[in-house]
Amino acid sequence: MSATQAIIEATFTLFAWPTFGWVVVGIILGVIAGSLPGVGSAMGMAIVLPLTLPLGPVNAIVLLVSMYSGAMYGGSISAILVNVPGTGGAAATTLDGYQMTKQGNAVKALAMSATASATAGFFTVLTLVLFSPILIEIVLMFGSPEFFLMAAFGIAMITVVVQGSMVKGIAAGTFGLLLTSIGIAPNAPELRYTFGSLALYDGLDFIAALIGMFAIAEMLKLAAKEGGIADEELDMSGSVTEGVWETFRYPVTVVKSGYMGMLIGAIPGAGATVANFFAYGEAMRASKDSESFGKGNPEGVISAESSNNGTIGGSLIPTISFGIPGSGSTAVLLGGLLMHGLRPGPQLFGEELATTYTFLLALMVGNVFIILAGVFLVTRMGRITQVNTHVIIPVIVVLSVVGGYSLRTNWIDVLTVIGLGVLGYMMVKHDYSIIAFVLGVVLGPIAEENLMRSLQLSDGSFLIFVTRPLSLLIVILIIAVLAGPYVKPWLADRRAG
Amino acid sequence: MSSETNKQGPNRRRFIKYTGAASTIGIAGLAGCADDDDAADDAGADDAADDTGEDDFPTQDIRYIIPFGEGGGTDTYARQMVPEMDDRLDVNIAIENISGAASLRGTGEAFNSEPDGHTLCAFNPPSTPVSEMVNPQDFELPDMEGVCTYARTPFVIVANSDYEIEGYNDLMDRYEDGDLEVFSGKERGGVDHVMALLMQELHGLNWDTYVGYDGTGPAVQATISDEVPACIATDTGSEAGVEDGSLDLVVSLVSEEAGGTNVFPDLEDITELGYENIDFISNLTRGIYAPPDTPADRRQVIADVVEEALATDAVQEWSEDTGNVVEFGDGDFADQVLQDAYEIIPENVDLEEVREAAAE
Repeated sequence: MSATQAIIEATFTLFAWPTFGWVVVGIILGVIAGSLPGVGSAMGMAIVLPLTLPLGPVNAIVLLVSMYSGAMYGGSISAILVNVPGTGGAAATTLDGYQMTKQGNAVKALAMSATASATAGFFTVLTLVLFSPILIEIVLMFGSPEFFLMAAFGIAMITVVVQGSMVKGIAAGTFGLLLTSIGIAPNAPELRYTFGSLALYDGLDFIAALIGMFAIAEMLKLAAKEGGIADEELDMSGSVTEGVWETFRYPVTVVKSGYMGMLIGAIPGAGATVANFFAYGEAMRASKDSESFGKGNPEGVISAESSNNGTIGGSLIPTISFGIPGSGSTAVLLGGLLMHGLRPGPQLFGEELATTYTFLLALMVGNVFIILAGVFLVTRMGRITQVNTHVIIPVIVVLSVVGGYSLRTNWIDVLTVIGLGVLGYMMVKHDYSIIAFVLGVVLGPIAEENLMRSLQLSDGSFLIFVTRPLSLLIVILIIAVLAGPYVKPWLADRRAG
Repeated sequence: MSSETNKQGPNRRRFIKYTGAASTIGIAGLAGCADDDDAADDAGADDAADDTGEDDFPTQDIRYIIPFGEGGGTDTYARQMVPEMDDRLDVNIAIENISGAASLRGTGEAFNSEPDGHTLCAFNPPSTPVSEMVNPQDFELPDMEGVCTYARTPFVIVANSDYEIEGYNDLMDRYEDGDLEVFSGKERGGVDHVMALLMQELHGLNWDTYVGYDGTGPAVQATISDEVPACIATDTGSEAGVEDGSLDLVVSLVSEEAGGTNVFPDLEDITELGYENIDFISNLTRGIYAPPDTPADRRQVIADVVEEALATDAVQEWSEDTGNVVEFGDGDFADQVLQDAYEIIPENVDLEEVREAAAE
C-alpha cells in the first residue's frame, strides 16, 4: 500500500463513526486526567487501557493517543487557574499563566493555552507524518553524552531565567540538584540518604516537588488574602478571542517551542517537563521584554504550552519505530499497541501503515477539539478564580495531597508536597528563584545518569563531550548561554563606543 | 507455540524431581493434601473461614500489587489478565502500581500485608530476588507464598547490525580480540548485569565494560544508535529493531529445553553451541505471590482463576499476536523458582563482586 492510499484509507476510517467519537471521548478524558494533579496522562491511559479491549485496534489506539494529547493540554488548566501544574509538562505554564489569572486574565490565558497546545500539537505531528525517516535519524544521533549536555544546558539556563540575585538563583538550583541525590544511585546499587527506608529508594518524585513548590506554596500565600484568587473588581469577560489571536502574534515562539518539545520528547526520560522549561527559558532569552516573564507575560504561557504538546510527536518516534517508550505515557501506549496486536517497527510502517496514519491523523484532528473545548468550555472555568479563597485553599490542598500520594502510592511524596510547599513559600518570600530550583530537581537525575554512563563509555575521559559534532555544538551553546549576560553588554558598549 | 497454556515444568534438570509432587498438590488443590507448610498456613487462616470450615473466599476486593510502573511488562500482562480474572470472581481485582526500589517497595508492601488472600503481588524471579540479594532487605522475600506463574520472558543478545556479528562465537571473538569492549543491558547490579558477569565467567565473553541503562528499551535504543555494540534484551523488547534491520540477533540465552524464545523460534541458543546453561537467570518467570502464611486453599482459588483467564480466547490471541509467552505454572512451581533463585544465584555468582563491579 502506498503512503497516499494509506492516508486516504486512514482519513475515511477516522471520520467514520464511531472512530471519530473516540477522538472526542479521548480528548475529554485526557483533559480531565491532565487537569488533576498526580493523575496525568500515563495513569489515566493505564486505567482506560483494559477497557479498550472490546474496541478493536484502531479505535483503541485512537482513544489512547487522544487521551495523551488531551492530558498534555489539560495540565495547563489547573496550572493557570490555581497554580497547580496538573502534569509536570505544565509546570512552567504556572509561572506566567497564574500571574495572568491574578491579574484577571484567566480566560485569556486559558484560551492562549488551548490555542498554543493545539497549534503546536498539530504541526509537530504533521512533521512526524511527513518526515518520520529523517526524524528517526536525528533521534538516533542523541546518545548519553548529548543527553547529559542537554541537561547541563537546561541547568545553565538558570542564568537566563533567574531574576534578581544570581547567587540566590544558583543556590536554589544547587539545592534542587542536591535533593536529587536522595535514593539509589542511577548507575550503581548504591544507597544515598535513604535511612533504611524503601520509600526513599527512588528519591523524591519531581512531580510531587512541583505540586508542593507551586500549589502548596501559593495556597500558603493566599491564606492571607480575602476574596478570590483574582481581584473582585477585575473584569473576567471578553478575552477569549483576544487569547486566541494573542497566540498567533508569537508565531516564532509557537514554532520554536513546539519543535523544541518534539526534540526533547524523543529523548528517553526527559519528556514534557524538561521541554516545558527549555522552551520557557529560550522564549525568555530571546525576548526583548524578558523582565516581564514570571509577571504574566503571555509569551511565557505560549512557549510552555506549545512545547508540551510538541513532545507528543517526538515521543512517538522511538515508540512506533522501535517499540522504545521514552515516557510513562508512551509505555502505556506501547502496551496498548501490543495488546491490540500492533507491533511497533516495520509493521506499523508497512502492512499497518493505514492504522498508523489513522492515529496520527486522530492526533492532528484532536487538536481541533482541544481548541473548541479550550475556548468554549474550559474558559468558563475562569469563574473559579473569583471563588473565595476559604473554599479554594482546602480544595487545592486536598487535591495536592491526594495527587502526591497517587503518583507512586508513596507517603514520601505527600511529605514532599507539604515540605517543599512550605519551603517554596519561604523561597518566594525571600526572592529565591523557584524556576532555578525546579530546573535542578528535574534535570539533576538526567544529568547524573548520563554523565556517569558517558564516562563509563569513554573510560573516564571527558573528551567524549567534545569529540562528537552534536556534543560539541551543545557545549558551545552552553558556553554561549553562560557567557551571554557578560558578552552582550560588552558588545553593545563597543558598538556604542 | 507461543501461547500454550500448560503446567510448566521447572527449567533446570534438577527441578524435574519436584514436578510430580508439585503437580499433584496443584491439581488436587485440597488443603487436606497440603504439606506441613500448608497445614501451618491453614492454622493462620483468618476469620473469613466460617465455623463449618467452609471458606467464602474472596469476600472483598483483591489488591493486585504491581511493583513496577504503568506500561511495563508486568503491568501489561496484568491489564490483559485481570479483566478476565474479574469475570470469574464475585469481587473486583484492583491493580495497584507500587513501583520503585527495583520492585522491592511493592513486594515489601505485599509482604507486610494481611495474609488473607486479598493481597497479591506480581513479581518475576529471578529479577526481584537478584535486586533483593544485591540490596538486602529486612523482609524475607523467599517466605512469600507462590500462587502461580503465568508467563515467562526469555532474554536474547542483540547487536547493532553495522557490526555484522554472526552469532555468539563471533561476538565472543570480537571481545577477545579487543574489537569490541563495551557490553550492555539494564542497570548495573540488576539481573542483566549478573547475566553478563556469568557469561563472562562461564562462557568467556570477555567484555571490558558493562554499561547499564534504565530498562530494556533504552538499552536497545543505545544499541541501535551504536552507542554500545551489543546488549542483553528481552525477545519482545528487541523485536521491532530486529525486524527493522537495525539489530542483528546474536543468540538466545534460554535453552530449547526451557522453551527457548517464541518471538525468534529459529534463533540458536547458547546450549546448542555447547555453552553452559544459564536458564535459571535468563528465563524470567512471571509469578503471582501472596504474603507469608496466606492459606493454601485461597491461593488455589486465585491460581484456578488465573489458569482459566490464561486459557480465554482474548488472552491466547493477544499472546499469539504479540509473542508474549503465556504459560501457567502452579503455586509449587512459583515457590520453586523463587527458592531456586535464592539457592542457585549465590552458588554461581559472587554477589559482593556484583556490588563492587556495579560501583566501579
